[in-house]
Amino acid sequence: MNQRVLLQIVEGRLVLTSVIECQHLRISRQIMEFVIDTGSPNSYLSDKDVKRLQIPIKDRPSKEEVDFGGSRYKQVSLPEFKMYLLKEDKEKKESITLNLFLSALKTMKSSEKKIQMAQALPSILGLDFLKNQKLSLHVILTENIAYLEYKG
Amino acid sequence: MSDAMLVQMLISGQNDLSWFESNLNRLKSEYNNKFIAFHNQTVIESDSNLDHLMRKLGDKSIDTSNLFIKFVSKVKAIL
Repeated sequence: MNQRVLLQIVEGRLVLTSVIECQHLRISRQIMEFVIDTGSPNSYLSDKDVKRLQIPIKDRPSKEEVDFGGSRYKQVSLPEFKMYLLKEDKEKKESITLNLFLSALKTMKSSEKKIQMAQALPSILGLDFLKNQKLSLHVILTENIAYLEYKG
Repeated sequence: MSDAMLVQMLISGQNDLSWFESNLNRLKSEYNNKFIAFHNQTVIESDSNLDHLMRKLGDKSIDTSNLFIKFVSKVKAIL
């Protein structure tokens, strides 16, 4: 039977509310929002959320640089996260657990204004997330309905 | 943390984002070009500098695990 996870439409974007944790980085369960971005092949933790979660990325291996939202970022590899999502079920409230791979984005800007602009961008889940988790994305904007669907 | 607490955390998070969306115009007027930290449908702290905001939250020993931090601006950011 197919199961659904509801998305919210916030500031015109598809937003997934989740709780994440990472034992390797000693991050206990934290509420997080991710924007579902089908224009991105990969998933990223934003500069803002790296700071919020206090992830030490200085000594972590970095990958190639990426442009995102008009800014250039250093891409830093992160260990596996656990992600918890709320199943859509009116009778019984339950969560599902996924294993999530993300890269951290670190802004390369130095002026305060440009850092602020870079930190304004959200964390995103790209096409790799939908593919790896075997999720399909359903959006009916005229009815304000959006959800992810998976085989439960 | 029990499963019930985890589910409650997710529901509370969804409610907070719904509140943010419903109050976006007011928040843009009050906090234009600032980062805001909010939880339980209340803005807890704000600052134009993210590091300063994190410091303010730390100084007040506020648990950040349940709150959202978002940048509010009248100018729309395009991904």
